[in-house]
Amino acid sequence: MLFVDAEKCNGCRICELSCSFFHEKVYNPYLSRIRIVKWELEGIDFPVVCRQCGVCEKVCPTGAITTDPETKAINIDNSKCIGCKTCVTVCPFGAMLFNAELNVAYTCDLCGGDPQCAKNCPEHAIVYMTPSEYVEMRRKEKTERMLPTRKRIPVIPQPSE
Amino acid sequence: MALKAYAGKILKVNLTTGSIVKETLKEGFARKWLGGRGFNSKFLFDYVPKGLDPFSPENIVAISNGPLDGTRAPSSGRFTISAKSPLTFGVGYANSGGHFGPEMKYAGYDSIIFFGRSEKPVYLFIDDDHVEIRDASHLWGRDTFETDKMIKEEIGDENIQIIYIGPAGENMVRYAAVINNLYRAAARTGMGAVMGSKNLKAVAVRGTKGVEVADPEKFEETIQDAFKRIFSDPAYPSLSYYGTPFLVDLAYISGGLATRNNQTGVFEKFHNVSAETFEEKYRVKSEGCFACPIHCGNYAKVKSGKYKGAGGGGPEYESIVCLGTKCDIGDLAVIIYANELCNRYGLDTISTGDTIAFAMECYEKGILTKEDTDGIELVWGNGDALIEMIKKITYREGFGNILAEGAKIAAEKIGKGAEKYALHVKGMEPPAYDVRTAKGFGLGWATATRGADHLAALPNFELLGYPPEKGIEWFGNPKTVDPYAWEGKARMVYWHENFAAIADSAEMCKYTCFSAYAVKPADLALFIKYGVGWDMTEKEIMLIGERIFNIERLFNLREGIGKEQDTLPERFLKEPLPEGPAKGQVVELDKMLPEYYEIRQWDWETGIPKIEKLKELDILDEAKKAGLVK
Repeated sequence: MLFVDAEKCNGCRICELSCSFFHEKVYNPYLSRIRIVKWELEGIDFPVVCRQCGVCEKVCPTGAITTDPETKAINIDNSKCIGCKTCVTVCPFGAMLFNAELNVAYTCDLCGGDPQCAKNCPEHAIVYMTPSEYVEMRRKEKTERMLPTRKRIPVIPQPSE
Repeated sequence: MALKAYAGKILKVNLTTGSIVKETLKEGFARKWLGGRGFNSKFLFDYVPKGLDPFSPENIVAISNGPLDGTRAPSSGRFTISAKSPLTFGVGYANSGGHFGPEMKYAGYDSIIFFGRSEKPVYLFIDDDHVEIRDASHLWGRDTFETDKMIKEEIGDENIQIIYIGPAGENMVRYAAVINNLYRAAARTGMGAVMGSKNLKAVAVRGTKGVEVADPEKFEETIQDAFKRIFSDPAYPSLSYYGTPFLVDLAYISGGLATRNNQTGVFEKFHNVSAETFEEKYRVKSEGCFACPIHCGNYAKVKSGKYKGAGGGGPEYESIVCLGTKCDIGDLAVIIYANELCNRYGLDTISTGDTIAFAMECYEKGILTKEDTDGIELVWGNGDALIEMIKKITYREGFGNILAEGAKIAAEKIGKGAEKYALHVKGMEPPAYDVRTAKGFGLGWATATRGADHLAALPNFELLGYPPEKGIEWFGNPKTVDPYAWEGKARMVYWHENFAAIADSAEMCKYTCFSAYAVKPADLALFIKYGVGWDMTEKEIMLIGERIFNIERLFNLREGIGKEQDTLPERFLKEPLPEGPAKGQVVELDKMLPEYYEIRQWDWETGIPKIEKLKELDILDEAKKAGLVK
C-alpha cells in the first residue's frame, strides 16, 4: 500500500515527474496522478494521491471502478465509465482526476505494483509497503527521537572512504 | 523535425510598442549556446549597443531556461535572467531555482526577450500559446509576497509560476533582485532594477505541454546513476538537512567567517549563528527546488522575541554572513527578519549586507557621522540599524538613496577616503567566503564576468580535503587541493569556469555538479545526448562553456571592462588576516593571473582573447564586430 507522510515532503515534485514519465513517457506534472499542493507562505508541501480507500468504488453508478484484491489499487474500466464525475466529487483527498478529452476519470494505479513515486522520492515521504511494515517503521522513527544517544546529522561533512 | 528537450520557441516582447513575436529556435543556435545563460549572453552581445545606460529602454531583459528544464534530470529546474548590469555596467545575469523555469518550458518557450519600456506598469501573462501584456498598476508598490498572491487570485490559479520584482526593483536600487516562489532569488547584478526601469512588474506562466526527451530509457538510466552519486556525496547529509547554513561552520573552522566588512575571519559570536543553533531554534523543514533530490532550501520561523513571526524561506549561508557576520550581527532572529525583508522588497542579500557593512566601517572610521546617516547609528552589531537601512535603501529615502547605488558608487559620493572600504570587483560587492582562505575562489572573483562572484568558478575542489594525488590527476598539481596554496589554481579555475557556464546553460544546479562532482562534464554531456539527441561529448560541451565565458568577456571588453578590472580589493591582496587558523593569509593574485591568462589564451597586455582562441570558439566575428580585433 502507498503511505504518504506530508511532513517529510519538501515539494521537489520528483514524484509528479516519475508518474507522468511512467504512464505517458513524457515529463508533465499536469498528467501526473500524484500532485503536490503547496502553501509557500506557510511552508507546507502536501502530496495528494489515491489512498486506496475505496469510497469511489462504492459510489460509481456503472461499476466501472473496482479494487485490485491484492494491491487494493483502484482500477477504472474506461468502457464502463460514463464521465459522471461522482467519484471526483466524493474522493476525500481530491485525488481522483478527470480526463476531459476522453471523458473518463483516472487516478493512481500503483504503476501495476511498483509505484515509481515511492521508488524515486528522495525523502521517502512516499513509501510502498504492507501496513504492518509501515507501522513498524513509524514506531522506530518516532521513538528514536527520544533516545538521548540518537544519531545527529553531522554539520561538517565526514569524508568518504 | 522538432528538437527534443527544447521547447523550440523564442518569445520577443516589445514593451514600447506592445508587439509580441514568436520565433523558432534554430538547432544550430541551440547547439552553439546550449541554453539558459548561454542563450542570454549571446542575446546581450547581439542586442545591447556599446556604452548604453542600463536603465535605458534599449537595454534588454532576457529570460531563458535550459534543455534539461522540466525533465527529471537532477536539480534541473533553474532559469537565468540577464541584462546589462546597472551595478557593473557589464554583463549582468542571475540564476534562480524554485519552479519557474520548467513551467516556462512547459508553456512552450526556451527564451523570453523584453525590449523597450512600457509607459505604465505591466506584467506578462503566458498561458501556453496565449501571451498577453496585462496592466500591473494595482500591483506596483506591492511587495513580492503580495504580488504573488494577487496575480494568482487574478488569474484564478494557484499553480501558475511567477517571477516578480518588489519595491526595490521598482525604485531601481542598483542591486535589486528578481524573486520567484517567494523566497528564491535571481539576485545578483541588479536584474530587478532593469525590470523596474521597464515598468515590468512580473512574468506569470502556466504551461501544460510537458517535455519529451530523445531517448527516454537511457535518459532515465543516466538520472538513476546521477542520483546514486548524489546520495553518496559526503556533503549530502549536511547539505540536505541543514542547507547552506552548514557552510557557516565550515567558514568558521577555516578561519574565514567574514567579520566586520572582512576586517577579520574570526567571528566571536559564531555559536549564535552556527548551523546547530539555526537547526535548534529556527529551522522548520527543508524545501526543494524542482526535481532536486538535495532540497537544500530551508523554511525557518522566529518563534518568540522581538522578531516573532519572521521567516519563510532561507536564510542561506551567503545571507547569514553578508547580513549578519559582516555587520558584526550575531543574532539569527535579526538575520532571518532581514532576509525576509530582502525577499519581500526584492533585494540581493549579498550586495545589501555588503553595502551596509561598508557604511558601518565608514561610520567606525569617522568618515560617516550620525548627521550623514539620518540619525541611524551604523555601529557594528546594530540590528535595528540594519533593518532600518534595508527599508531606506528600498525606498531610496535619505541616506538610503546613496547606499542604493551600491558600495562602489556610494563610496565615490561619500568621498573622504571611503573608497578604501568599498569592497568590490568590477562594481559588484563580494560574496560571503573570505578568499584569503581559498585562493582559487580569489582568482575566480577577479576573473568572473559578473564581478566579485563565487558562482562563476565555484572551485569547491580546493575545499574538499582531497589527497594531493587527486590534485595531480585532475589539474596536474598536488597543491590544487590546498585552499591556502596559489599554485595550480589557474588551471583549476579555468576548468571550473567553463563547467559552471554549461551547468548554468543546461540549467542544472551547481550543487549537483560541484559538491563532490556527482555530475561531471562527461555526465552532463550524456544528459544532453539522451535528452536532445545530439552526439554530445565532454570535449564539445566544455568548448561551449568556454565560448559562453568568452562572449561575456567580449561584452565586457567592449564596455571598457578589461584587464585593469581583473583584480581584487586591496584588503584581500595586501591586508593579511589578523588572527585565527588563516592568520597571515592574503590572495597571491599576481602569481595566479599571468598563468590564468596564458591558459585562457588572452593577451596579457590587452586582456583580449587571442585570434586563435576566438577562431577555435567560433566567435571571431563577434570580436570583430566589437572592434576588439582587426
